[in-house]
Amino acid sequence: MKRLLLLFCCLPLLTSCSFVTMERQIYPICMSIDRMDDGAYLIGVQAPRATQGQGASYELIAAQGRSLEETLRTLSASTPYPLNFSQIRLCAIGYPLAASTELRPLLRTLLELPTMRPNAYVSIAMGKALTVLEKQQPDFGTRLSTHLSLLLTRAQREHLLPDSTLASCVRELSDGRSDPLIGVCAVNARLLPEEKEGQRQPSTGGQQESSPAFALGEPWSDAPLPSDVLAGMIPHESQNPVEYQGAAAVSDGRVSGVLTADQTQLVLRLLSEADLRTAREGEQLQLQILLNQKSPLLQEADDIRDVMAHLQALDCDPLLFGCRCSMGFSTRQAWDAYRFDRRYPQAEVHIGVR
Amino acid sequence: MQPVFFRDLERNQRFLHQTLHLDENTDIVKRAFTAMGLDGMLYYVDGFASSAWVADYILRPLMHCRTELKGEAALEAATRSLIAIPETKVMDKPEDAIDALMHGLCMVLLDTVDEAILMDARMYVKRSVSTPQTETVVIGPHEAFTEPMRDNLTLLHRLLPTQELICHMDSVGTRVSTKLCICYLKGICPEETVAELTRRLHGCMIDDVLNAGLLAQLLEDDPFAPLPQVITTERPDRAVSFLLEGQCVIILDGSPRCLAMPMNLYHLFHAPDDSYMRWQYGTFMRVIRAFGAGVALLLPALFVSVVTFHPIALPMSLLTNIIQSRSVVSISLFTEAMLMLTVFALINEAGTRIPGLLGSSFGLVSALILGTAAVDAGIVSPLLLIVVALSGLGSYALPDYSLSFAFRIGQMALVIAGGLMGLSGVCLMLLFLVLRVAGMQSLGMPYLAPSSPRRVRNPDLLLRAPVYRQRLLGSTGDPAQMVRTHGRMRLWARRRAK
Amino acid sequence: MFQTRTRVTDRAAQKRQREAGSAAALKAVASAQLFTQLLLWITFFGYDRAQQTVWQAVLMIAPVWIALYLVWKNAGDSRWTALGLLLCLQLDSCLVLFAVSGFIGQLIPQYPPWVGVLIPTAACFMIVLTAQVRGVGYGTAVFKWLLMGLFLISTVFLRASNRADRLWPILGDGLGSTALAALSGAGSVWACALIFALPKDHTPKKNLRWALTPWALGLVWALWVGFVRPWAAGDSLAVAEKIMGLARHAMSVVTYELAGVLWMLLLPLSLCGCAASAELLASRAFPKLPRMIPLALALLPSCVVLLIWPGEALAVLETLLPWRAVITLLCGLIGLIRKEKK
Repeated sequence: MKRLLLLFCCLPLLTSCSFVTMERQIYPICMSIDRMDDGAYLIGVQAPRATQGQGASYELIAAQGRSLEETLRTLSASTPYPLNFSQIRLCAIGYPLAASTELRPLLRTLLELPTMRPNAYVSIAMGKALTVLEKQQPDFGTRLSTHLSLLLTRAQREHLLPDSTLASCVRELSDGRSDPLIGVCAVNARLLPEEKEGQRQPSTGGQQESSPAFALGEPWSDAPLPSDVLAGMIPHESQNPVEYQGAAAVSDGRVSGVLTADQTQLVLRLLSEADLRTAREGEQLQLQILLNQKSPLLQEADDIRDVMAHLQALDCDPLLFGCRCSMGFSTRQAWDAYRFDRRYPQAEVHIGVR
Repeated sequence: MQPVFFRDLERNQRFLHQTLHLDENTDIVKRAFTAMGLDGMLYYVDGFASSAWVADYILRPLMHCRTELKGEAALEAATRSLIAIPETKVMDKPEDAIDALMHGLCMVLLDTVDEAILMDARMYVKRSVSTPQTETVVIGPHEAFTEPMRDNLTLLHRLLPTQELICHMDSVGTRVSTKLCICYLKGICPEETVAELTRRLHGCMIDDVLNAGLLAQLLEDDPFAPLPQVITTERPDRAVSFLLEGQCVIILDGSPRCLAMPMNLYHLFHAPDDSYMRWQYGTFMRVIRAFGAGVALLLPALFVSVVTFHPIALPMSLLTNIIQSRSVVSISLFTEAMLMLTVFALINEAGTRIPGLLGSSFGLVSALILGTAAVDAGIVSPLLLIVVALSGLGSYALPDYSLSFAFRIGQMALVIAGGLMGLSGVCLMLLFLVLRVAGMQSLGMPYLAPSSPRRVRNPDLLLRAPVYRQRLLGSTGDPAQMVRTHGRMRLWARRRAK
Repeated sequence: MFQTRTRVTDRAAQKRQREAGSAAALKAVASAQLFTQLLLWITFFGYDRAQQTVWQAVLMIAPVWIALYLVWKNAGDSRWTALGLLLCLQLDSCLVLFAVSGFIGQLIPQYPPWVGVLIPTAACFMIVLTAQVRGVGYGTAVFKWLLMGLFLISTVFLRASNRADRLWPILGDGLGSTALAALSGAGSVWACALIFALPKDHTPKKNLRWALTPWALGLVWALWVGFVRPWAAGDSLAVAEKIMGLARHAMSVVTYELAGVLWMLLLPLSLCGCAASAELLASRAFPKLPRMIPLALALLPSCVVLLIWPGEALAVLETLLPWRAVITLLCGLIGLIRKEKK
């Protein structure tokens, strides 16, 4: 009887020899998802080459398909080894796709991929996301994964980029009481090697292909760039033409516009430093931003109003006014009946001292 | 065997001749003599007794006695007036007398006397007290037990000059009887402990016990448990510390290690110089040792499981390095790890067995084979080599020799579990090991006591409190004697009254 | 660390202390069982039904917990009460095995699904067979601080974006809806009875601590789930995604992995606790019963059910699990009545 039990216990061990060894997998660091003009999906992954004794080099693999699942299957089938997404640092989504209603289902599908890293950073690419992957290079000889990790962490800490990890994006997109901001990335055409070789062309705002969703839309000129910049427009010189600045505003589950770097920084500083409240007087809704008496943000009241106007125009509530307002309601039904989403664009903004 | 000796010397001689196979066994010396008008015979095993002592203190006094006596009077005179050997006893049962003879005592038989006189004139070749081989310390005594039980008992008595130290002689073995001594401190060691240990000893039905390790395997509660339940030591100071905590110590003749029971897991982690150093240093060393134990047990398994199943936890730079270093290795990481651990164990075993003259070439071979050639040939990766070496260092930091073996076996089991099922396999196997150890007992005492189940204890388990705070004996002792001292230990430090 | 006195000065006190130690180990098993069932209920059923008000649902379960505590505190032993508790242990082991198999299946998708069912079953069977009830008890007491540390890492120190405003609207879909959700979780606190049923003698001290702590930790978990809101209502997640739902929002991969380790330790430990409790209760009710039979009864039916009907198991469990409270209450009342008659 004991021998039978022992055999029973050992049988499962016999099945467990079919796991895939780690060096027979591909570990992409970046992923891009675009939708082509004909509606097909284009997914690209960027992974390091396993070469000894040389500097790190990266390979880009892309596949197209009619649906996300089909594209992923095609991508997986086109690689010699299975893809392991546990090291993904950046997930770039093309602006046209992000501006559609498929943003949350897309992000959910990505999050539920078996090996997907939940804290991968989601970024909206101004133009084609695959181009961002093609052109990006790590600075100062670091590895791309290190470069991205350090850059994104620092940018979030300094309120230059919002916290838009994959898991938090999926969560915030379903909250219903607030809207997330998603970081923006773009290729600065002026920093591309072919541009630097003198083939300067009037740039269309730093993107390789025209995209109707590029919100600022200012064409390049020789005039000095404004200080209020977005990714792809930063006046600097670098080997790496990909820039991460600014944020995409999300409304009703899709990207509705962009915030510049300054605007993004202001919003994120307000989130951390200001006391944000709402006041309801009958049908009137007032959004209150209360600052400390010594807060330097008090000097930027005009900018704050401009940002709020911009956000209200985009119908995006990243400052969690909806969450604050919902604290005045006891049930979800009462909150839903209030229709905060309709009142928000017309709400009065009040900036004061607490 | 005849139940008693006869008064007829010839009859006794014939019986002994037959029992001791004196036709073939030429190792037993027979010496006929006349004493007190009676015929006598001296028997002893050649080489065991000192010829000079036999001549001076047994034969000469007996042979020079002219007074004619018989029977009880002769025996009385021989034992009380003539024989000058201090340890002399009389036995009437041939079985006991032969047993004593074979253990080196001299036996004298006299005509008309129906008892044998046994005298301890042993002086045989033996090893002198040397330094411990497996329990070396930096601070502390450097004496170790040797093979003769008598010498070991002497070492104990030197360190514990108290009348409470009870040394009860016994023997074990049905065919070949091996002497042993059960030592304990009366009043501190519970009577139930002694009784249970004695019961187990008397229930060992084995033909012979050559070594303490063999005896330990017969006495332990569960032979299939992963850890030993009898602690062995070759240090007298450690044996004394066990006695002072209320444990029983068994010293077996012919074995340089003594046994102590009951024990718990913490005994295996304590080294003697933890107590000899200041409490900060002792605690630090224990923490390092615990860390080493953790590394020895878990590091290879965690490495294999994380790299194979949970690469998300690794930084990309490290993962890339691992992939690059393993790109030339043709076997899987799991197989490589098992191979390395096996080779490491092989090196350890070879290092123990190899003759001293070949020791230097052994180091060269293992370093060449593993350090250079195997890596260059693409059989192993350098990173795994480091992992295995670190885990080996961790196992060497363990003070108990048996424990290091147990950890190496556990390490392999964890690597198998981790290689097959990742962290979930490691956790399952860890649960198995911990719960198994938690269910163990040593002489009926839970193995993880006094932490689980929680019991009153001296603050000297993992962290060592200052000695003046260790006011209690261990949980193995008699509860009535648990408090070591009343009042302050550092009485001199009391603040003077103003 | 600096203990200088002892309350044990004679044999009787030593005996009492040793018995209390053994009883405490068994209470640790019961406590771990309570904690695991509460967490599993919140993860699989409670949060989906109550969303951000799941913490209120846990509070609403308190009267059931209190009732079971008071009844069993005064109940006596009975063969039939043991059988009733065996049934609850059976359901517990089914839920835990379901969680374990789903977790392993997602962790190592290359393996066939039955590996995730058979290996934990076999492993826990071997553990309890070799370690015996005392090993499971003492071992659970050893793990309790490690599990507590991992629990804190999985909640308070998760470094996830947790905001108190996510708990609003404070009543969610209304008190009625929350109360219905709480009803489904009433059975998850049945293990309160084990705190009294497992130790031989009902030692009066510290039972409240063993019963209250896991419930309080469950409340903390529910609160953190409300603060973080790991997934939206209507998202149909796989088993492992729900189990790791909270940890997915961790900023650091290390805390994410450690949160996974919490479940990897807690679930098999709970399964071993089920088997060990079943063995102990069955051996007291039927002393001549061989050890293997209650162990097999505790684990094998769950294993078979999950091998044959893995897809339907959760739905069936959702229906059956709340009845554990009723069964336990009835058994307690029977024990109370029998004790009164004596």
